[in-house]
Formats: sequence, structure tokens, C-alpha cells
Amino acid sequence: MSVGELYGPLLTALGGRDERIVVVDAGLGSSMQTGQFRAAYPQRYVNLGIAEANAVGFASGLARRGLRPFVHSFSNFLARRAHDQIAISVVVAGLPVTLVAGSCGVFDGRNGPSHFAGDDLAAICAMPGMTVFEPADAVDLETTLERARASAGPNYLRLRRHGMPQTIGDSLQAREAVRVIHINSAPPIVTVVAIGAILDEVVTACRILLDEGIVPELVHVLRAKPLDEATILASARRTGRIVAIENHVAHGGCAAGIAALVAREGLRFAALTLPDDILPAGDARWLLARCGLDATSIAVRLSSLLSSWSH
Amino acid sequence: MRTQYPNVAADFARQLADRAHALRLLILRTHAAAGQGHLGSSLSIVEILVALMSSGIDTGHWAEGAPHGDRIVLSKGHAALAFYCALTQVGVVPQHALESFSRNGGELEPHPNEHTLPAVQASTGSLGQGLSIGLGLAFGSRMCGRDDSCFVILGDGELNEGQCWEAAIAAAQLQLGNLVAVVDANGFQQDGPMDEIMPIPGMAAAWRALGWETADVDGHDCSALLGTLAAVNAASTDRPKLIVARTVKGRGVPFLEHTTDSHFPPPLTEVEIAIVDQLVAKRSADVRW
Repeated sequence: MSVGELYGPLLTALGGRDERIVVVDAGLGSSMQTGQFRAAYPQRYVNLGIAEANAVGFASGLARRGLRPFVHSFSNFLARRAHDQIAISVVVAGLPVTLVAGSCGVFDGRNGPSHFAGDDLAAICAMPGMTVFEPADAVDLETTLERARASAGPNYLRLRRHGMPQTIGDSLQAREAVRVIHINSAPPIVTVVAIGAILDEVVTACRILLDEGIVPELVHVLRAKPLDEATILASARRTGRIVAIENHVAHGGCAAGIAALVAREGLRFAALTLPDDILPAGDARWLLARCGLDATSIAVRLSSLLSSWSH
Repeated sequence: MRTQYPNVAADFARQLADRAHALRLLILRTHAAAGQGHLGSSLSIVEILVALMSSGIDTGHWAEGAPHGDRIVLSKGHAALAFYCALTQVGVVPQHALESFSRNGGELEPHPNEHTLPAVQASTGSLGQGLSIGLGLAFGSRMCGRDDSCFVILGDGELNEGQCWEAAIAAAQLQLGNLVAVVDANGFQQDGPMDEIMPIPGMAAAWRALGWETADVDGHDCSALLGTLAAVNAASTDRPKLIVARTVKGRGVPFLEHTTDSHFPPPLTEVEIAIVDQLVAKRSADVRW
């Protein structure tokens, strides 16, 4: 099921639960799948056209009137083009504006460098008081929307464009910021942290490792900021080794935050991230393979890492 | 062509001029005490602030951060000095708070920060952002079943920012008749005269073409500003309003008027402020009521 098919009904349901929700589009409503909300609540829907900076400022004004605006665009246009507007018009005041950032990183949909945001977390996580979610499945997404609705401050929702599964892992209950996903009962020898939407690739990679006799402990990060440091550290201490995997460049992402965290503990750490490179256009599967972040590549790289660490 | 509107009653006009005189002196003294500040653009918006604060705007809950009520957004945030002084003049901020202006860690920062001073309606200073916030405030008020007014003070230099034009297009489309933008058209930006850097020709005509109600007035004539506010508000309920206020950067201080150096000048001495006091008083006395 595509994230669009999931997102529209969940957003509409959210609007039904809270009359303060206002959906703001910046000319990408058809991609962001806000049409169902617009049809259900036309008085609480505004499309401001292709003008992201104005959309963010407009949302700032709405929030000051006690409303709960959800601003929609692609992650590159929000995090980069409207960065200063987010910083000054939203973050300084700590307003409850939710930025719904679609098409993150390799999950863009073959639009190429102009649309590719592999650096948005670096821009957004650096903002004081910003809460950052990256859901991996429909249960995560529903949890995230509710948390954003109830939040007193700004939120950034990093969404993939296509192919979000209904559920990954063991729980249909509301998700925590970080959860340990049980894939095997044997004692793990490495903590594998999947950040956000790349979880399904990492789950498959972990199953490949299990077939090779390597038992990982899989940890998923739904909320990249603030990071649930305790859960991640507890797992890393159990296994003594930790690898973070992220659809983002190495600089300034969530994996970089985890690196700083585990450095204090003297634990073995590595990150599998997007390369420091301008990537060519391609669909998500092709780009994941190109970046070594498809399931097979992840499994090979993890196996290799563990071999080098055991020497 | 300046828009011609009948002036308000003569005695009220005199009161307004007196308020403007007092505000100008308060700005100069606060600037002198702090030793720094954006003086030129603070002096050019004195009469705009007096007119807006005297227009019946409800400032009652500004200090409490209540979601409803009228708003002024100082989009040209570097003129915060004037805005703070105007807030003390109408009793929203205590006058002793001015002592913290531009001090390390003080609540009255060089650019308005609602985090440190809740009476500020929106944090600004990064130019071009205030009008969009104003749109949200005006639209949000209507969504909440009210029609509170939102006034946004822009600089003419600030109109170099593309976001202002995004907002101008959207305000007309959203039929925000409760939104009033006032441009402090002092003809300068930090680096010099607008004409030599990046002028905005035909501001009122351009925004009128976008669907705004517009007027072009003497920005140092409080009664003309008030009359214009009333006239544009009466003209339409669904068109946003633009008032181009023709002003002088550094207004009131002869050696700063119309100069680039007025942007961030050294403080005036007490003697200089006393001279300005007399000059402004004489200039006010020359006005035909």
C-alpha cells in the first residue's frame, strides 16, 4: 500500500478528532494526498500554491490563533527552501506547527537532485525544540500524527513517498520513540539501529544475517529528535557493538547523533548512510542498491563489519 | 500622487503629533542609554506606530499571549526600538523595561523576540517573513469566527524579499479584508538608497493589480495616516489593504535624515537630543491644524 493511500485517511480521521487541525498545501496536494481531507473539511483546508516560505509563515499565524496547522510539501522544499521561515517564524516561538515532509531521501520517486533531500535531518534536527518523526509503517504513521496533533511545539514528519507497509514487527499498539523489534530469541551480538522509513530493508537484512548465524538486536528509531538515548544505549551495552542505518547523509543526521552518544561509552560503532555525493536520478530500489542500503547490501556490509571487528 | 483624505479633528491631530513627538524623544533617549540600535528606521515609523496605536486597535491582551484580538506584526524587525517604545507609550510594556534594550541577555532584544517579550506579536528580524504571519493571523481569526484586524509594518527595502510577494498574491486570493500592510517607504536600505540598489517602483500600483486596496500617504502625518486607515477599511471588506507611507529615514534628527549612516548610528548626546526636541516641537507648531 502506498503511503498516500495510508496518509489521506489517517489525516482525515485526525481532522475529525480535532477541529483545530488545518491542512496547508504548497502546491503539491495531489502528491501529498491531502484531497480526502480537503473534501471532508473544506473550511479547514488552504492551498497557497507553489510558495513554501509563505506557507510556513501562514501556518505560524494560524498557530498563534490557537489552530493546529499541518503544512505539506516535499522534504527538500520545506527543510531547505523554507528553512529560515521554519527557524524564525515557527521555532523561535515554539509554535505547534507540523511540517509534513514527503519524498524523503532515496524514497523520492526518481526526480533527481532537484528533489533529493538526503540532508534534511541535518537542517531540521539542529533546530532547538523541534520534534522529528520518521515513521516506517502505518502504525508508526498513525502514532506520529496523533503525537503531532497533541504537541505543544513544532514537529517535522519525514515521510517516504511510496510503499509504506501496514506494519513491521510485533506490535499494533501505539509506538514509542524507539522500540526493540524481536526477530530471534538467541543472544544478540550486535545492535542494528534502523532509522525511520528504511526499517523494512533492515528487517530483511537482519533475516539474511540470521540465516548466516549472526544474531542482531534490531532497534527502530521512530522519533529522531529528541532521541530516546536510554533504549539505544541499553541495547548497545547488551551487545557491545552498534550499527546505525539511515536514509540520510552521514553529517548531521540521526546516525551522527547516535555516534556521539555511543562514543561516550567506548562502544564499537559504524553508520551505513547515504554517500557524500550528488546522486543521479533513479527509483527508490535502484538508489538503495546504488547507496548500499538495500537489504542485500546492508546484510553484506554488516557481515563484513562484524568480521573486521572480531579480528 | 498622494491619496487625499480629510484629516481628523484638529485637537485630536494635535494630540497625535504630541504623542509622536514624545515617542521620538523616547526612542532617542533609549537609543542613547543602550549606546546602539537601528535608529534611522525606528525614527521613520514613529507616526505609523502612533496612528496604528490610536486607531482603536485592541492591545488589551497582548502581554498575556491570548490567541484572539487585533495584532501588529513588525515585519521590519530591526525597528524594534521604536516598537518597544510605542508599547510602553500605550502601557503594554512597563517603561522601565526599556532599560534592558540591547543589553546582554535583556528581554528587549535588538530584534523582536516573543520568547523573551510575550507582548511582541511575532518574532521578526529576518526580513520578508512578517506578512505571511499576518496572513495566518488574519485568516485564522476568521476561521475562529472572528474578524480581528492584523496590521503588518513592512520596509520598502524588505520588499526585495520574494516572500512578501508570495504573501501579497495569497492575501488577495484569500480575500483577507482584515489585513492591513503599511510600508515604511523611507527610500533606504542598510547599504544605501533604494534607487541605487534595488528600487520597488509602483508599489501601490503593483499590489492594486494583485487585488489589494491601496493608498499612498505622507507617513509623518498621523492624522492623514488615520484617515487613510479609515478610508481603506471602509472601501472593501474582502480586499487586503496596503498603505504606502512616504517617510524619511532618521526623521527628526537633521544630520541623520535621508542618510545611509542613519541606519545604525552612534547615540546622540543629551545636548543633541535637546536640540532635536526643540526642532521637532517647532516643526510640529508649524503644522497647520
